[in-house]
Amino acid sequence: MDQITNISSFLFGSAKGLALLSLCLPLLGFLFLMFTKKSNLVNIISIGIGSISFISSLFILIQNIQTGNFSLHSHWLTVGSINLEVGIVVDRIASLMLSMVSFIALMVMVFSTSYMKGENRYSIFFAYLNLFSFAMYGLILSRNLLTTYIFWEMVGFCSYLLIGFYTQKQSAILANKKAFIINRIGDLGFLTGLMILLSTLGTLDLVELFSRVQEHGIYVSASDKFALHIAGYAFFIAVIAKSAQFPLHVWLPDAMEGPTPVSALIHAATMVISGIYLMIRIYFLLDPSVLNFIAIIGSFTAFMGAFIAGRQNDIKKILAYSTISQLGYMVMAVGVTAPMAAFYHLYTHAFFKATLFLSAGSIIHAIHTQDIREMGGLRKILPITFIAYIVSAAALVGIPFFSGFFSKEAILNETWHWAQLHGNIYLIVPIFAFSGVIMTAFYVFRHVSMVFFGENKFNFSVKKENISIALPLILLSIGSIFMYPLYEEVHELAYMPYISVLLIFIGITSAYLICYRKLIKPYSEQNIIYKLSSNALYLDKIYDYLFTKPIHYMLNKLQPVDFKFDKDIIHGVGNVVIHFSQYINKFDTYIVDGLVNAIAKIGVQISLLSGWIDKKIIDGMVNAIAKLTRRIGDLIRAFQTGKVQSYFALSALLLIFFIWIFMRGL
Amino acid sequence: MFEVNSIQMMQLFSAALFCIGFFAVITKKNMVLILVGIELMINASIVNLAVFDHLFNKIDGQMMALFAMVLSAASIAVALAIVIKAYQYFKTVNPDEINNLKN
Repeated sequence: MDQITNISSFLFGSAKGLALLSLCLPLLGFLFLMFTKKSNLVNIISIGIGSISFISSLFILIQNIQTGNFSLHSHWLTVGSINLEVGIVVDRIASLMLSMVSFIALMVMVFSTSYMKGENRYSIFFAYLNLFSFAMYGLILSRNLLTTYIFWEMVGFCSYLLIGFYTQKQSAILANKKAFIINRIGDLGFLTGLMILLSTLGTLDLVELFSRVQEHGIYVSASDKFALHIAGYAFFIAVIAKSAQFPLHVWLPDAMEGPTPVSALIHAATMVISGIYLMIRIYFLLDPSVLNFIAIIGSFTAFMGAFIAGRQNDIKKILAYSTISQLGYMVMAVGVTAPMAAFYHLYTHAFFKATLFLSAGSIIHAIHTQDIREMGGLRKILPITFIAYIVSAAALVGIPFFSGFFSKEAILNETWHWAQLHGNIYLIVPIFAFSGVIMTAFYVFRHVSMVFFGENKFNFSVKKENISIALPLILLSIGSIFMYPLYEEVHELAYMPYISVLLIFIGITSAYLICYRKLIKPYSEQNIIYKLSSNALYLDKIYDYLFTKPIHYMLNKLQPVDFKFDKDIIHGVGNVVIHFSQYINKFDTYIVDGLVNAIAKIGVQISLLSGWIDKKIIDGMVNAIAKLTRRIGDLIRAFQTGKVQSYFALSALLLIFFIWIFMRGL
Repeated sequence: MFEVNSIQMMQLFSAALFCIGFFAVITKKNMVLILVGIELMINASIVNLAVFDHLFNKIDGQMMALFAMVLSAASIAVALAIVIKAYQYFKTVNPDEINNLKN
């Protein structure tokens, strides 16, 4: 009884216990939900667990603000001379992140109760969401990079499960395969980084790594310096894949095949930012050249995502490219040595992007289409969705006094400061960043005007938003209005707000003129810029030709997939191949097969002989010994009657026998 | 029919008595009768003692025979007690059914 009260006072009384509780509850929920079918029970359990996690994460945050960082760890296993420890560490970043993730997870679960209603695998969906929450909390709280890696894999796996949730949809299956395979590249990078860290520094414990770097500086020797340099790039590959940066971003737009709440939770607000979270965590290990590389990749991604989003027609794809672009800003911020600015933007972005996705979900739920050309005038039909969307879109663009304004401001300031320090070629980073801002304003204005304004294209009555859809939208959009005090800017420029407002104004005006009023037509449909944007820079096609098709070609030789040969060459090659294969066929039938048959026959004969030997001689010997033993046994058994008189008679006879022998000897 | 002296006669008698006792011991299905057989065998040996005593014309053998009689009576008394106890325990006096040595 004492133990029980001890455990409960540990779990509920201290912040460490609360952290463990909020980590483990979703796992229990997952195990339970896998075996239940009643949708009411599913709702109660998953929303209950979500609320408990959220409330305990708030307590953890308060505790952290009051008393500072704390951690909890215990020995896990020893491999050779390496001790691996498993544990959790709660610092300011982790506690903020935990509260944000658990809040969005709770909102998404509430939203899903109505969005996924009547779905075939309703309870499985919530089970997966719970498993994802578990993995994400683990990733946030993990103290050891190895356990971070385990949870990293787990969130990837949950993402795979949830993208392919509509198992009867072929495109969803293809999309989840794509996401899984591309994430595998990143996981390989992560693993490489881990191994390099383990072999050079000998530990994967974040706290220990940090203290070691602070004490001795990071570089022990020149070879270690090179190894850690490589490790930085390896970790960045993991980030590129998980956070959908430029060369490997192609999985994220396809991941929109999953249910919309999943897109809101996993592919906008939480899982994709785990890459940035990882970089903030191991920021002290990254050296300047890696950071420069990160900044360039991030800024290009920020621009590219916004550029492609400008010509997409699927509302979820627009939001996906927008996510890629915003993730680019965060990665860029880490690259320009401002990880806290990145974290600030990560935090605000999670709220407004989750709102945008859930609003898109509400629209899709109501009118069953994702194509913005078929929408229009939705502001009267779905008023709450409209308000939430406008607020969060304003935050996304960075209109003053919305959360995105402050965070993007911080990133732009840091970028400009960094570029001034480095000069020359690195000026391309802020240029990409600023033009990204223009493009963001452009695509946001374009699709908002197409979706919510204009004439009403729906003459049928649509479902109104019910409470479980409206409530998350309202709560989340409140989160994207004002969030200033989280971050103190280090390098503030007085004129930066005016610049960004000017950029936004340029973007919105051009969108208004080009897309809404159609006054200016700078490009036709055949224009190269238009084509690049609407086909996502042809990256999918390029990958197709670079990797997929050659592999296919190698796999099915003689069946060229898409390569256009001259007809004669194909015929000539075909004839040669046919004759050659006929010869090979003959060779095969007479010589190879004959040889094989002969060997087989010999084998059969040998085995018959050995079978005979086995049966007659070896078995015969064994049987003979057995029979002999049995006979002797029978003989001896005959004496053991247990009858006193026969024993007596026998001993008397033996006595007589021995006396006879004795007398004869005499 | 045969010309035999009395000593040989007595020895043959003693041997016959012994064989009868032995036969009784190994064939009877009643432990009391087995005891009777044992008694016969003891008496056969006592007869032998008496015969040889008569042959060497001494008194020692006869004393020995008397002594052996007393001893055999005592041992038979003990044996009878064992038989009674065995009967109480096994509820039978048939030695074939008392085969606990086998198990």
